[in-house]
Amino acid sequence: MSLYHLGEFEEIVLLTIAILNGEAYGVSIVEEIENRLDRNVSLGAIQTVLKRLEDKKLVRSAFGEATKIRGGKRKRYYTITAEGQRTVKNTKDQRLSLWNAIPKTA
Amino acid sequence: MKIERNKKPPRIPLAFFRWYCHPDLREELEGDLFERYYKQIDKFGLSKARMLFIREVILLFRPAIIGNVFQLTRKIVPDMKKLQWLKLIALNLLIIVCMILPFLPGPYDKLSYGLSGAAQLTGFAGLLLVPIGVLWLIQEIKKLAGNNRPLNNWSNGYYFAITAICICTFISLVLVLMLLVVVGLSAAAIGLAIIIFTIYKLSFIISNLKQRESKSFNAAPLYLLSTPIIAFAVYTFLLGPVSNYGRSYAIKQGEKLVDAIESYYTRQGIYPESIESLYYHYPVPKPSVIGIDEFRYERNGNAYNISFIQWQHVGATEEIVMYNKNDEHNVKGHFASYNADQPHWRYYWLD
Repeated sequence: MSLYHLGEFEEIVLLTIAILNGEAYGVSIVEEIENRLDRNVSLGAIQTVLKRLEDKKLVRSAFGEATKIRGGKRKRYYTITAEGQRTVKNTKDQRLSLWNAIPKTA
Repeated sequence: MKIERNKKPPRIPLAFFRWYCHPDLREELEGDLFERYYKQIDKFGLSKARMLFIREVILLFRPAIIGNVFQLTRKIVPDMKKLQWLKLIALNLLIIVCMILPFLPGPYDKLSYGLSGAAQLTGFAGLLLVPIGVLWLIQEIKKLAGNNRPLNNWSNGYYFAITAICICTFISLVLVLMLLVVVGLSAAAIGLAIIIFTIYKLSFIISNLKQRESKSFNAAPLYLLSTPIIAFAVYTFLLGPVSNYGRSYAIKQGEKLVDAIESYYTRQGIYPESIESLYYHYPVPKPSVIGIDEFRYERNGNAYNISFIQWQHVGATEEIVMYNKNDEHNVKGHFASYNADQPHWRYYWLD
């Protein structure tokens, strides 16, 4: 059982990092969420959650390359940790058990 | 992607972002802002991309990301001496107490109007000092941030102090005029003497600022910022409820007077001619609110009116609160009237 319970947005960000598989940084996470969920997300909201997930040791980060479009600033890539993967799986199992517990009506 | 010179992100929001962002986050976040901005130019056009850039910068202004403001603010706390904090808190508490004084329980004191009006005006007029306080505080924080440039008349606070003292003197003279009108010549003379004494004392402190070499934190801008803002907030949010409390408290005392009058009626078969007629037989209560002088009584047909006048706040009106057991209240010249919480009591606002 994971130590942490995920909030809805934390879960979305953590899953998106897992989807992006090593290519997750601020802008790519925002775009992925906007494309997949049709939901407007700001960099500020993402950053807050990313820092929180990092504090919980569910993700880790490292600087990547700088590009011209980024004004020569480096990206910070996020990857999901083993603890993060366990937490995501636990969350999924909890959800599924709730779905399965809904009584079938005729 | 070709980045044209005229497509650079808006400078002022970018400068604001660079100022507030925590240094550890600045590189990645600035890169993200730039990348998103240039992608949005391709998607939405330049003007919408600029708007979205500004929006992103504003939405990034949150505790997890802000670094500079908190870091610099933290520098102030250890630099402020305990006595400076106590003085700051004491002054602000004094302003608050003065503002609500006429509405608190206690013996009547006419001076409370003047004190409350002066404190309320401090809140309004003192807002003029807030921009000076902000600029001065920025200078003080910059000074603490440790640049080694020698102090000039701006960075040592001399010009800020001169500007603030000019505005304060103007405000104080207006307050003295108000005291003259509301309370009288003696209160105005005392007020004027206090102003002259204060300016005399401050002139030494201000001239010391000019020769100041120390880079320790000067708490003066905190006074310029906190006092008007707190006074204004109390005026806006607290004065209404406190005024209601004062009215209800006086009405409770008024109910005792009603009981005394009704007892008199039971014994004598008529209502008393005046409130003084009750003195020999019944205890006659006072309103017991600092800003309310006395109950007024008059016979009105088969009933009677009991009323008192409650001073309202600056910029508002005089309020007459009246009791009539038949609800035949008659106050002329009011522009609004409301039922009080207690039955048969109404209050009227007059021009």
